Amino acid sequence: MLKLTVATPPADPHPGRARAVRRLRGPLSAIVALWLAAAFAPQALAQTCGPAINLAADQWRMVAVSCVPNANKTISDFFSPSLGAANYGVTWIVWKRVYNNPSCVVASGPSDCYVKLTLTSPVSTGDAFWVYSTLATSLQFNNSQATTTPGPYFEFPAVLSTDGNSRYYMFGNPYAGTVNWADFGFPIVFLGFLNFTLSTQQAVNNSIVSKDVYYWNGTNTYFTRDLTTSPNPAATFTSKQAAWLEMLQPSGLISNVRVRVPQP
Amino acid sequence: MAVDSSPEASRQENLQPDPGRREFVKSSGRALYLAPTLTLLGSVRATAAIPSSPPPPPGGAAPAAPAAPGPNQ
Repeated sequence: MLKLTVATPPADPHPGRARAVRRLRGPLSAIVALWLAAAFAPQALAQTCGPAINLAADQWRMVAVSCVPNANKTISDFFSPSLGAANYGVTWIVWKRVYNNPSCVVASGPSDCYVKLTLTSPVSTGDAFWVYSTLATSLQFNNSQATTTPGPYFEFPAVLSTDGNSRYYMFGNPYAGTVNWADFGFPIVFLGFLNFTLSTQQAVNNSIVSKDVYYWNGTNTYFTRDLTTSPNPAATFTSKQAAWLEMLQPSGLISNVRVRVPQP
Repeated sequence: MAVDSSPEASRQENLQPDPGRREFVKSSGRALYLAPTLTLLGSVRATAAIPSSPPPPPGGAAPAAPAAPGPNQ
C-alpha cells in the first residue's frame, strides 16, 4: 500500500543566521544600487550634455557648449581633450562673436565683432563658437567640465537695432535635448516700466526679432528656418547647435529685450 | 720603417674607393628621395592652412578685427 506523505522542509539548524541574512538583504540592495549608479555615472553625464560633434576637415563649424560650465573653465578644458592643446593654432582654432566690446568698434555699426580666442579664454553657458579644424575629427566635450543643466531656462540680453541695421546674435543650445523655437520667450520692458514676456510669434509680430533664424550649412553659406513654424522639425534647435538670431528695430516703446531659451 | 713603393702596392691603393666620395654619393641618394617627399608634404600643408577669420555674420558685414586684445582674449 502506497503511503502518501507531505514533505516538510528540514528544520533550519541555524535560525539566527537566516534572520541575519534577511536583515542584511535591504542594506545589500542599497549598496549594489549605489555601486551600479557609480559605475554608470560617466555615461549618464555624457548623454546629459549631448552627443559628439563631427568636424569636417578644412571647414568652419558653429558649435555650442553644452550644460553649465563649472567655474573658471576655459577653451582648453573643453576642446583640448579632443583636439589637442599642442595643436591649437596649427590644426584647429576657435573664434567667438562678442558684443558691445570696446576693442572692436565698427565705425558703421554696433560694436560687435569676432575675437580669436586663446586656450585660456573663458567659457560660459550658451556660448557658441566658430571652430576650424584642418583634420576630420570628433569633438566630444569633457563633461567633467560641465555637469549641470541650466534651468528652467537660459537667457541673455539682446540689444535691439537702433540704426535700421539688424544685429545678429550667435548663441548655442546649452541643453542635451532639442528646443522648439516656438517655445522661446522674449522678456521685454514696455513703456519703461511694464514687464512682459512675449512668445516667439509675438516677438516676430512686433518686429523685435526676424522670423528667420540662420544656420551655417557646414561649407560656405547660411540657410534659414522660420521661427514660427515649430514644431516643424526643421525649425528646431538641437543640442550643441549654434545659430544666429536677427534682432530688429521695433517701436521705441519696447526696451530691455532678453532672449529666453526654455529647458526642453 | 720601410715603405712599400712598389708598383703593385701603388695599384692596390688606387683601387681603394674614396671614402669621402662614397659618403657624398650616399647622401645625394638620400636627397633624391627626400626632396620630392618634402615638396609633396609642403604642398599638402599649404592647402591645410587655417583661414584668418570665420565667415561673416548672416547680414553680410565683414567681421571687424579688434583694435586691441579684448577681455575675452
